[in-house]
Amino acid sequence: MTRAFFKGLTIRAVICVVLTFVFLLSCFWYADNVSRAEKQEEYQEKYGSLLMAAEYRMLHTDVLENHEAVKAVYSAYDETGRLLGYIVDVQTRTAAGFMHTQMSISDNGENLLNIRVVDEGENGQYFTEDQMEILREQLKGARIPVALRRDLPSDVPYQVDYDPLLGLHDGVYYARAEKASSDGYTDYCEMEVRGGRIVRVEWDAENEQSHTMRSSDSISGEYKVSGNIWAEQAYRLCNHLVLVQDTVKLAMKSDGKTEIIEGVTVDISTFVMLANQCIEYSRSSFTKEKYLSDTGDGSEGEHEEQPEPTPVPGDTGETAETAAPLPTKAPTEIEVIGGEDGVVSGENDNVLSDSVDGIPMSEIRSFIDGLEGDATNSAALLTTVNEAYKFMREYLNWVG
Amino acid sequence: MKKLTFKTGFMPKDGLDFVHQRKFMREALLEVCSPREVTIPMKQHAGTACEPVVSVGDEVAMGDLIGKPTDMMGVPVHASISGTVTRIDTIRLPNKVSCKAVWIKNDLRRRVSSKIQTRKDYTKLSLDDLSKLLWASGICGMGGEGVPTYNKCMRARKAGVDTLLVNCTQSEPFLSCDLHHIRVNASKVLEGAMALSGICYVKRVIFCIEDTWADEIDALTKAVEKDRSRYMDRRIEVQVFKSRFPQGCQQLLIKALYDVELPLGKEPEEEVKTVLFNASTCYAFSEMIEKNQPLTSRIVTISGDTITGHNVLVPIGTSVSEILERVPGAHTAQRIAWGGAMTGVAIERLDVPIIKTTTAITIIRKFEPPRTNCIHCGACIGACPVGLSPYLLNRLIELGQTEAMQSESVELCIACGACSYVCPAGIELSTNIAKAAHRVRRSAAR
Amino acid sequence: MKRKQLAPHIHADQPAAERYIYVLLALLPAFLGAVFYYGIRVAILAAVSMSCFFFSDFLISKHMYPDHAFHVDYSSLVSGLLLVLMIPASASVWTVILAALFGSVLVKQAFGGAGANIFNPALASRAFLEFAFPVQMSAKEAPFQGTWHLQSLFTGEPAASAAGETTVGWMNILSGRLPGMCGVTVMVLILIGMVVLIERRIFRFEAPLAYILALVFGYVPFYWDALRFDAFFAWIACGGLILVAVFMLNDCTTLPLDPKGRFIFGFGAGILTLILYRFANSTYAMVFPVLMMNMTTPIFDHYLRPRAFSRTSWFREVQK
Repeated sequence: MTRAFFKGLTIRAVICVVLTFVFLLSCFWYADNVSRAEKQEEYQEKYGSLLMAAEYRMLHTDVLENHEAVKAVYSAYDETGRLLGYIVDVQTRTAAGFMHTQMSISDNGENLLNIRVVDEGENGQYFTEDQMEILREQLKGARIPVALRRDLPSDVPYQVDYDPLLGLHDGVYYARAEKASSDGYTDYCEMEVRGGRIVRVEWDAENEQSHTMRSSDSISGEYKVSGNIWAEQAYRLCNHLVLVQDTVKLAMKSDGKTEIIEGVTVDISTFVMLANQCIEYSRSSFTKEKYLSDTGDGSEGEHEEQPEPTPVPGDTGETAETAAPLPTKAPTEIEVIGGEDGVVSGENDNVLSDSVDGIPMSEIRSFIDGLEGDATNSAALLTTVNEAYKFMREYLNWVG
Repeated sequence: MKKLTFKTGFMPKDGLDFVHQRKFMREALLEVCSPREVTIPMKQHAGTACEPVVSVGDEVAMGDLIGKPTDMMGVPVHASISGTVTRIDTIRLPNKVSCKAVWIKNDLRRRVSSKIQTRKDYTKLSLDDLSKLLWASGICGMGGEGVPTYNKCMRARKAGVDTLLVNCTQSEPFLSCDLHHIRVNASKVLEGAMALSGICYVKRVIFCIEDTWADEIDALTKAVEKDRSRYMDRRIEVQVFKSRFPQGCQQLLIKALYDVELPLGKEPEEEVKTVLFNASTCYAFSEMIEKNQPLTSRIVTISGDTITGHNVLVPIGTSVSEILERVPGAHTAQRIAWGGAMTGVAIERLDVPIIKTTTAITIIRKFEPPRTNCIHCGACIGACPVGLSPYLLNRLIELGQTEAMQSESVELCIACGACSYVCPAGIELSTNIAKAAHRVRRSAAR
Repeated sequence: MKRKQLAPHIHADQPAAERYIYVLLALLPAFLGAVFYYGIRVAILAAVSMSCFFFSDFLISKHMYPDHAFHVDYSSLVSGLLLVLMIPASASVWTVILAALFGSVLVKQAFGGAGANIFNPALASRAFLEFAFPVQMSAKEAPFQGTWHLQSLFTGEPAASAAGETTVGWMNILSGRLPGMCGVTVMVLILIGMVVLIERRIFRFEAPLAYILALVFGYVPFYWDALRFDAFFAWIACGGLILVAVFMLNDCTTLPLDPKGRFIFGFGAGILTLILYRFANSTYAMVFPVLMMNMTTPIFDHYLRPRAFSRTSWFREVQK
């Protein structure tokens, strides 16, 4: 055996090895591709009715570990690789057993696109086809999280119909306090009128320094009031106004408080004043755009608002209309909150107590009617949606 | 033109298929060797030995007769150089021939015998004159077998042959001595062949050449076309054969040409009315006709498995050592063969002379035959050109079963060496079988 | 020892050792495929089998046949590797050692050592395993159990084999990704080996060609009642028949010397394969036809000879 032999042998061996691995790896690659295509086909069959996409990718994230209810999450892409949305597979425990739903959520994670119930519970189907169709109609496109109207904090039954004020013009109206209250927030109120009815009211305030909203500050705990967090109180208040259509019917007492709205303990005089302004504007068709263009940045205006955070009922004797700033309120408030924590804990120790599926009411973005007479199952369905929302919230890194 | 070849046996592609033999050199650089001393054996041919007609101390010139044949089966031997006879002694040649030999010391004067002179009217020689010249020239078959050419012609004449073959197919790899004549002196080869054909009363001459040698085929064809008008009474053809070993063998040439398989002991003269001469023989005869120069020198190919070979014009009797002096790297050779690579005889001592039938000196640098048991591969069967089963014959020889060997036709072996060449186990098939065949042939003849 | 300097003085450039090393090289793709599919375990089995075969041959040859020129025999390595390629990857080391010793001692050296054996040692060893360890040999381990899947190397219990039958798609047939013997399923890799053999002029096509021809043309008459050409193709491609055709029917020692004999040999092996596949099982159909035809090789060698020059008959006259 000569050198030439070993040379020839080596060359042939290298060629053989290369050919072998080219063949094996290409076979392997091909088989892999086939199985992947098969998987995508399977996904498409499974999830296509929820969200048709070219490619589904399973998410592998640590966030999943924190959400036991969320079984699997897939992101869906079209042919060009654009994110179309998410598909979330949720299984929650219900009274009847488990409810397993699959839903698609839009690419920004805000809207529910479609939903269906996969696994039926132990005691048969949760919903009939027709029921599911109704629910789907209600849920499609809704912003998440979702709650049932039933959950709205109101003593007043919904079916009570209040007459609207006369002379309201449709549009969005806006009123802003002239200057900041003692705690540094400038209140504003936004009101939408449609068909002569107030359909939406929003009350919030902006911090002068940090330009944060009072509602979000209250959610994050920076702004504290006794009772429910401010955002929730404001929300209930606004909702009640939508319900009763008139500020008079809010039954504000002379100290700026009301007792007819459950869970609202703050001073509402500023709100009432701003809401009245909005009603006036609505009557004169002075819409939000006009208001903003008239008042420039909107920071100028009247200043008779009252700082709303009044820690404990009966603490002060201010009247609603005076709207005199109370320079000493802020420190007192903080002190009082500190001292009052233990006092109020009996009733409202959990700030989220008035919440749906662990989500504060203020965070709820949509309300649906649910199924008539089957509120339990509807709520269970919404629970799955909200579980998905909680996952998305953490996954997309919202709200801290 | 259709290329002819033989079909008995199957040549493995890598083996001796000359097309694949890369080391086979094409160009032949001719060198003239002028030795210090020559040793001229008295028996260089197949036949009877000559008697030396000179004695120690005699001055001889080139071309002088120094050996005289004792009967019709001998050929005269001539001095190849001028010089002094220093010794007359018995010599044993590598081909196992023992005979007397004459040692001549070169006087470096290049004296040429007075008989050698250019003949002016050589075209007008009669057939009788030509026969006499042939007898006197001392030419024997220069392809290797060494049959005296005069005898061959007489025999052909007697058998009434109608075709004369000029064998230009080189019988072994690395060899090109015959082809050198074709390339350089094709017209002289043609002339010699024509003269021989005249002696044999033959009207048809066929030049047999292998397809590897395109230049030589060209040269030959041109020479034939040029001189065709001079020989209007002859039919001259050039027949191309496929290059493969051992195409140069007489039986296989006949097989390829006539599809006739010569039975053992039969000659082509009687069987197919054909006589075969080597190209070098023809050239030597043309020298005799033109210059009256007897056979005193020949072309020897010096080649090997790793060196590029060349052709050397050497006086007959030059010792191998003197030729190899000028070949670079010859002293490192593992073995030196007196003859071609396939059938040559390896020589231990380098004072062996070149004789009339020596075609080549082969220098083997590396020869590491594998050594394993017979692996029953059948390569030898495929290689054997006469269709024997060498592996079986070798086994029978080991067992000493002569009868079984005869039933296996061992006597047909032509000792070409193809079986040994291809054997992957490195078994010396060819040597063993050729010996056994020789024994069987001899006992059969007896 | 200096050998006599005899003609010829040149030699063809492919001695027996090189031939066998090139056969080993031709087996390399199939072996790599087996390692790729079944992990490093196959490499260990192959190393054990080859070394066992090799040293057993070497020692026995040295002591039983001291007059042999050469004791190092590379054909042992070829047999050892072929043996491992024909067993399931889940076989234990002990069975492999036993089979290698059987092949070396009883099949090869008992008949006179390298070049004198009647049966193909690798196939005979495989047949021995088929009878001695039928359970281990019928294990069908699925590919891709893991690279370092070595737990049962010495006990040979098949690891959790594939639950359902793998779907036999054409891609699986082509890539040989099927449970079974570890090295025979990948047709393409064996064919790469064949290309090496052809390129080195070691491949003699008569027997493999006749074998495949017999299988292809014999299939229709033999399976007239149940013609399924996809299954037939899968069987040819992945049932080890290609390995038998390329390596067993190309082994020079156990095949007839004459091309005509080799053709008949291959054809006979093909017909026997069809019969055994019909009436026995696929392993028998792969292993035994060639062994059976091996027995007839001396008959072919005796009667089929090349026609000697100027003799009349290629068929050997029987001596009275």
